[in-house]
Amino acid sequence: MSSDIAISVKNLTKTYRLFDHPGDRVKQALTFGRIKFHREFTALKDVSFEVKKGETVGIIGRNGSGKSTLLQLICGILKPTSGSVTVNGRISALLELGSGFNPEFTGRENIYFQGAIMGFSKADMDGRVEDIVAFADIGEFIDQPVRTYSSGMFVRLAFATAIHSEPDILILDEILAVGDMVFQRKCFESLKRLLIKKKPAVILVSHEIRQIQRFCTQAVFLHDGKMVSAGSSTETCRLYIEQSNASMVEDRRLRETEHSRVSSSGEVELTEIKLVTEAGDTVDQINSGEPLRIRIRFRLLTSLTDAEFIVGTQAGDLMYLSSSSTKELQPARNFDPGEVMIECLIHHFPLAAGVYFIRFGIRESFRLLFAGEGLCPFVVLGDDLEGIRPARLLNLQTTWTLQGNA
Amino acid sequence: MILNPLRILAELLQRRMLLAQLVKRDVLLRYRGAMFGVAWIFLSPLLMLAIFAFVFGQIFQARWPQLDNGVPFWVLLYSGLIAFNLFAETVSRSPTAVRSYPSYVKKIIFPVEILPVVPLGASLVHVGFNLLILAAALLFIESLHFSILLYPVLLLPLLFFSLGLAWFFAAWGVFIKDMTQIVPVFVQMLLFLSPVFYPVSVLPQWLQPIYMYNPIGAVIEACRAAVLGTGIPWLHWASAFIFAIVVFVLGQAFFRHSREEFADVL
Repeated sequence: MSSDIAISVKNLTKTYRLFDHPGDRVKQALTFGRIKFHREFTALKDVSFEVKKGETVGIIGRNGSGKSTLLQLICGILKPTSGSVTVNGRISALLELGSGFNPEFTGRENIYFQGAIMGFSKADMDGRVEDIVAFADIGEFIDQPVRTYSSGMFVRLAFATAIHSEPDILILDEILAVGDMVFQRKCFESLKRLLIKKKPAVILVSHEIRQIQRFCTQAVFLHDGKMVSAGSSTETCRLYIEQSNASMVEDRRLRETEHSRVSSSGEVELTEIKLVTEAGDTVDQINSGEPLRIRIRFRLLTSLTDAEFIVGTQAGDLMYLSSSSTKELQPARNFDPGEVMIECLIHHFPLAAGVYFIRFGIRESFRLLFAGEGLCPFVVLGDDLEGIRPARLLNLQTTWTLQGNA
Repeated sequence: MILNPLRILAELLQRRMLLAQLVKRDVLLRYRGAMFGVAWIFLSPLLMLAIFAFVFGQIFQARWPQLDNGVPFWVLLYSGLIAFNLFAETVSRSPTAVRSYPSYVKKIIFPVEILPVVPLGASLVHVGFNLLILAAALLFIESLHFSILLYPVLLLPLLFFSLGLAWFFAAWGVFIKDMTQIVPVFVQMLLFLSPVFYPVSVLPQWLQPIYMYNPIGAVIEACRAAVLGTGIPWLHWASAFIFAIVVFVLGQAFFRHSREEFADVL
């Protein structure tokens, strides 16, 4: 392994053996594994990547995608089922808040204890302890038992201890989410200082994609234990957002009956509702600001006189966003029983990135024949990374005027 | 796999800072919050000794004609009990030594193999205090012998033996919870099977070698001899030492071998 590589993960696979009953493990051991008493669960499958010194790598993926297992394998806490992890240097890891701290002892005593775990002598720690206390900045709580600490104080102390141990590899699992904004910024600043000074490899797991994007140069995207992609964090994060939007759509589609509410008089059978491009290809995502073309097919069992069609859009929480009706369309349309296809083109759909739904209704004078909500989930993509939960609904064209003394 | 006892020792010594902190924590936490506090380090062995001396010395009128050179019965008893307690405390606590610290196994990078050493360290602290009590009492009845200084050295085989077993039971304790019930009972039984309440010489001839050459029996006999100032059976002691080293190395090997699965189980 060349000397500038800090972590090398090769074809890493981790399979857990699940025993239904603790005695089954003994039984299997007694038969030297010839008879199997367990089920298997593969948490990580054939993952390979490398982390160089001074590199910051984000690990992203949904819950249960194997992120924590991967970190535990890198730390050597878990042993790989197959494949290998090679680590070059001393690791400092914050995997879970408060683990490794002894609740009965004071913050200061725990700093020394952490130091001892990492293999520092008392003299080493004497030189660092004041820096750690200053960085943690938790006032006189430092001499109180840590069981009295809030989660914010815990994370301050844990992070301060970890970063002052000046590790070759620093692993942070969802830890910084606990601290407040000021502390988070302080953490990232000190991480940057450490990166310049000692060039450690940093691995960060966070669900805040923005954090990963801003701080990490590289990213690894895991899904169901498999590595979807690894590379520059900008690209990987984009892929992740696209995929999580897509899987959200997929989820919705699977549970469509759950989400969509359809009431019908029985005279109409909806056969198809989808988004299409101008050329007629089916799509399930558009870019913000692009036209939205909705194609609906249904079968009429009775004839309709003076029919009105309503097509609208809804946000993820089913709030009504828009509604377009054929009521004003002249002349009024009459239909005989049979197949009907209608297409509704919204010229400019200004919604912010997110997941949306279609509403569809058919009215005959004052009678409602069909009303469907939460139909045809689709994704609107934006340039920004807030794809999943935007802080706004609309992207409006804006012109600014700024006046003042410069 | 490392089967060299010196390397195992060197690795433990490397971790002495952490061990010292863990032992200190273990001892202090046990007495923290108790009304008599650390005084229990003295009180509990004294209470135990008083009961044993009363039951065996007064009620059963135990006599050790072979060794009876004027020392009271409780001296004979105490000198063996201190050694046995070192073994008992270390081994009884071993099944939970790793099991009760799942976060050390799963959540942080931690040298798990030192966890079973912690009860040994704590019991060594207790041995130290007990020896002080014993020495003070012997001084009081004017039968203190210089050979009592050998006592800590004589404990060595038992130390290695206990630690080897502790590693073994700690590993099993992770996989099988029943060990936390079985091992203390087994240790209790050994108290009566060991030459604590009687000397080896009262046993039938054919049983005596088993008692004299195993680390528990050999160390108890040797320690008692050191307290009484009689001849120490060095040959038995040395052979017990060899046996203890074998158990020590095998226990460590077994622990290392099973450690890989700890995180999967806890």
